[in-house]
Amino acid sequence: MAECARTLVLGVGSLIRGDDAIGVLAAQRLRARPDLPPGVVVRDGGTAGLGLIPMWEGFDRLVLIDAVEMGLPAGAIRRFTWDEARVSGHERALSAHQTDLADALLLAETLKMLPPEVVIFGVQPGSMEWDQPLSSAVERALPDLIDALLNELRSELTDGAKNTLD
Amino acid sequence: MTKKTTRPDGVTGNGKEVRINVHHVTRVEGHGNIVVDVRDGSLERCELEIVETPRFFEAMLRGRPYLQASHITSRICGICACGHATASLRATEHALNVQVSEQTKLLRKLIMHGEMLDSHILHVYMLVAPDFLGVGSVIPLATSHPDIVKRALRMKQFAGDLCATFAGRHTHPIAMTVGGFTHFPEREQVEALRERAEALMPDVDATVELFATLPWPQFERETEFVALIQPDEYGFIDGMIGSTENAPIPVDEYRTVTNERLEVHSTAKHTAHKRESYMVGALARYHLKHEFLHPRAKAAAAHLGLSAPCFNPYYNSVAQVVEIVHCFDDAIRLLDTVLERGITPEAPAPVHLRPGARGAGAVDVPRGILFHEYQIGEDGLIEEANCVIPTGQNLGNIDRDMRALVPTLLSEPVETITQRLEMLVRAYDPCISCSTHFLNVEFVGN
Repeated sequence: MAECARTLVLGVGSLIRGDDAIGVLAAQRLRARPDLPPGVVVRDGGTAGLGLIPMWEGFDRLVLIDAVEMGLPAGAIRRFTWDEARVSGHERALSAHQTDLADALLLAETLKMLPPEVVIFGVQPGSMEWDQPLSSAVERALPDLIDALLNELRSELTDGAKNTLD
Repeated sequence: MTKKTTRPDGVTGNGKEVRINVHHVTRVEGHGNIVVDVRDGSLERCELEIVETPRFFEAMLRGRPYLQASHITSRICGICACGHATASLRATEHALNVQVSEQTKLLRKLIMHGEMLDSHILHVYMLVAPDFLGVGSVIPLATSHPDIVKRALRMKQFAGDLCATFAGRHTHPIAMTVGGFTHFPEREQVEALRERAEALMPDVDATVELFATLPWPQFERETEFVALIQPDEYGFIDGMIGSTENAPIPVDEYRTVTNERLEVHSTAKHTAHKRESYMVGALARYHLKHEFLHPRAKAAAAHLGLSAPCFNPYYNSVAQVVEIVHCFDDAIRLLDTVLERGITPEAPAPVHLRPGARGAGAVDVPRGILFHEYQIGEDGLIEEANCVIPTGQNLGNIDRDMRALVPTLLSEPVETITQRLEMLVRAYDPCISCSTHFLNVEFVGN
């Protein structure tokens, strides 16, 4: 590649917990697209917890895809920045097994190990029961999610991120 | 997904009467409550209550093909997944008389070193250190001591990659099977690990320096220590069951050591051997084989103020730091051996089924000695299974330590007593999600 990768798309979640699989499934679909813009890398973050932090090292823009409880109808998609979504600082008990995305983002931010631009695509889950497929509402939302992601990837990096490229 | 964390504390006291009820001790794996009841200066009740949902893995294994056992049992725990898988494989291999190659033994050692490092680094840096550095958890620690947290993440990442390279996947190994491996890494991957291990030496030294400065609480209670012992190494797989108060016992006689029984206030089975309880884990291993530590680890122990005998349970974390040093140096030695020998992609050793096959396997996982025992039918299906988990073996000791500790602290403010008890529980590095077997349907009244 002539241009070095600037954007990481990271799908996170558990494939075996119903709608929590949406992030990983979206990443899988996206990675298979022939029309991905240049400079974009797509990875499956799974349930890596703190292991996510080294995955996004060196990128200018991080696009996360995850099931997010937003109090919306199942399948609803929202795009927001990390600034808009940041969990307010309260002490969270980190466990080896249960470090979630918010923990990893919070810790990385505190350590200044986050890319300059962080965007989250949240999909409202219907149900996250063990060993269940996607609910029909979330499954129906998948094509729209992919379109929204492709639009995001085709858009320019923000000024903030661009400035770090000099 | 975000989750709620609530931690209501009922803490009252006026010196002669202390009631402490810590719901969900933080910074341990799984869930545990501490209950302390003191009236008129006399300790009425002092217990670690286990509230985690019991596990039914032993029952789940019955009727399953023997090849599935290690994959099913590795799901008992996310951090000791390789330990469970290895103990499971050893139990099956003993039952079916399968002889594994030198290469298989070598690769399994590397995997266990990776797991030991991953678990200990997380425990000492993220679960124990916050107590000493005046913060409640690792995120405020990242604000006050970012370099320390970054170091922990670097070291932990290496440990996870060490495991994943040889086990095929980080968390829940996929390349390990009865008789050997189904997948082998490329030489370049092993070389890369070797380089990274070398580059992390300053971080290992810094770890020792950091933990040498921490004011470990002083508390002692004589206890029996139990760990696996090997003839000429500080290892974690196979061997005999060593005890500071008994001659070594073969692994297949483990039941004479563990003597599992049920305790009223917890859903976990407690164990006892020569005394009313015993301790397993890093401090136990140190007692039983510190002479086989790598030189740098021995030096670290001296620098940290650890020498045998040491009956201070808080020093279990110190022993874990010593094991971090040892496992780094030993991993480098093992990686060099792998590079020297080269890796031979060999098929797993052959297996021959026969009636009445029964065997036990033992691995010293981060928290202590772990036993698996299976009976396998001639059709290859598991007829019986038993797992004795290390944390279950520590519970009796934790209870007795707390019972001895509380009376020495009664003049302190209640917050101090609470913190000391929580630190005591954390020092054992309990992983409570593994250790419960039976559903407790009895209501313990007030």
